[in-house]
Amino acid sequence: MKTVADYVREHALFDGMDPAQVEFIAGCGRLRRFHEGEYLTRENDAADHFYLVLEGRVVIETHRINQPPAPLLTLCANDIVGWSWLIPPYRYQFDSRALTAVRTVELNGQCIRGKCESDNCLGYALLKRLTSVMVDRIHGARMQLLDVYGAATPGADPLP
Amino acid sequence: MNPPAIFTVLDRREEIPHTVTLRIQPAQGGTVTPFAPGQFNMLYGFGSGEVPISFSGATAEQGYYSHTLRAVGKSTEALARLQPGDQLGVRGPFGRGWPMDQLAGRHVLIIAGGLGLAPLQPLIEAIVAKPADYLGAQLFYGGRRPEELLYLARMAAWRDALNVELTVDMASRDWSGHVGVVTGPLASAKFPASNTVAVVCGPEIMMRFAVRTLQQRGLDDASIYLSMERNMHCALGHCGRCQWGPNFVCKDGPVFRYSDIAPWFHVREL
Ligand SMILES: Cc1cc2nc3c(=O)[nH]c(=O)nc-3n(C[C@H](O)[C@H](O)[C@H](O)COP(=O)(O)OP(=O)(O)OC[C@H]3O[C@@H](n4cnc5c(N)ncnc54)[C@H](O)[C@@H]3O)c2cc1C
Repeated sequence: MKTVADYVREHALFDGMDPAQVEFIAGCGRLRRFHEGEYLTRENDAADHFYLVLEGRVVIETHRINQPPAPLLTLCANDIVGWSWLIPPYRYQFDSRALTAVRTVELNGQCIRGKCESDNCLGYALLKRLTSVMVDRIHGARMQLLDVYGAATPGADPLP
Repeated sequence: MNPPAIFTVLDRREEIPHTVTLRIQPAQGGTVTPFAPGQFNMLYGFGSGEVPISFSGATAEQGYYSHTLRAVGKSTEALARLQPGDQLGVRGPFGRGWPMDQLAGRHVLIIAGGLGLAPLQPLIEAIVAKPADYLGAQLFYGGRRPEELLYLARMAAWRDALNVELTVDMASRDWSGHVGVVTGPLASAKFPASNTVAVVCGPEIMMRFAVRTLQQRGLDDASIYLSMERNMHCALGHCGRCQWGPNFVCKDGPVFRYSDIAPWFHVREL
């Protein structure tokens, strides 16, 4: 049977990472499943965990007054959910909801922070990987804002 | 320059706001010149102007052409207003299309953004007609909003032959596809990189993103093909309007292999 370490090693975030470091990180993890509609994170809750998505789809969304929540980004296998465990005050910034049944490795943020403090090489290796994902997300968000598809003006009349 | 042949609009379907598909047939009846996926016609709305528009129907269609066009300016607005029975001028087919011979036996990644799905539809229909000729195929299609995606009804038939991932910049909560950038699902998709060819068509900024993601996923530059829809005039490589680096988009393209154009692809103002 596959161990948590096996799943962590196979996840894109840890691709090519020193096996001893992966083992060390996997020590903070456990397998966790979510049903469709279940929340992985809730805005403003204590950000105790982050998730390596193994299977299924998750949507990051934010709530609005008198309107349904706004979906911001969907994530799938090989993505990760949650940074807030890394940055004070360690509270989730957004909701994340399972769009399908989702399998994850749930990593304990406090445990990983502790390991990174005691082993700075591990901390730096992990931070480099997380930064690259964060940069991709920023670039993606910028592109979403650009309206690159030259869409028809919202609300404009269709052709006669 | 050859004078345009006169065609008649057979029917007109509004796909999404400001974007229509016209089926056109020769006014005199008879056959039409066959085209290859990725090629284009010059369409001429009388009294407006002549513009390049890609073939968007299956190559197997007989006796007529299909063109999907978005009204963005004088010429395309005039074409988009045409009604069944109206006439227009047609020159073509022109250009070098998708490398269909390179796709056979390999895994095909089709990456389209917005109206960029139109020039890829003939290629998709070719795969759908003979899926066994390919190792596999995946379509990654991105748009602004769900209601601005093309050919959603037709996609149901494509799903038997290819995996379809739809991504929009923004959506309401009932949208079941992805929200984000089209390269998001591509980054985590499974495919055999060493035996995969990617075909990309969409806004240039989206194509730059796609190329980077494909490179990160292990595709070599010679396995990536892009359709460059630069403005053109004569479509014969004479007037120079569409010159891009050492190439003329109208006759050397619009489809180029990325390894052949990489030096120009990132040059600004070119
Ligand atoms: C090989 C090729 C295939 C094409 N296939 C299609 C197609 O299948 N469907 C379709 O709707 N359009 C397609 N186009 C784009 C189409 O030719 C242009 O939208 C058209 O020429 C605009 O002419 P216009 O007189 O309507 O607008 P103009 O008044 O000339 O331009 C209006 C606005 O559109 C912009 N524009 C003009 N041409 C382009 C272009 N090529 N790309 C991006 N923006 C442009 C202009 O900068 C301006 O902002 C293709 C272009 C090429 C080169």
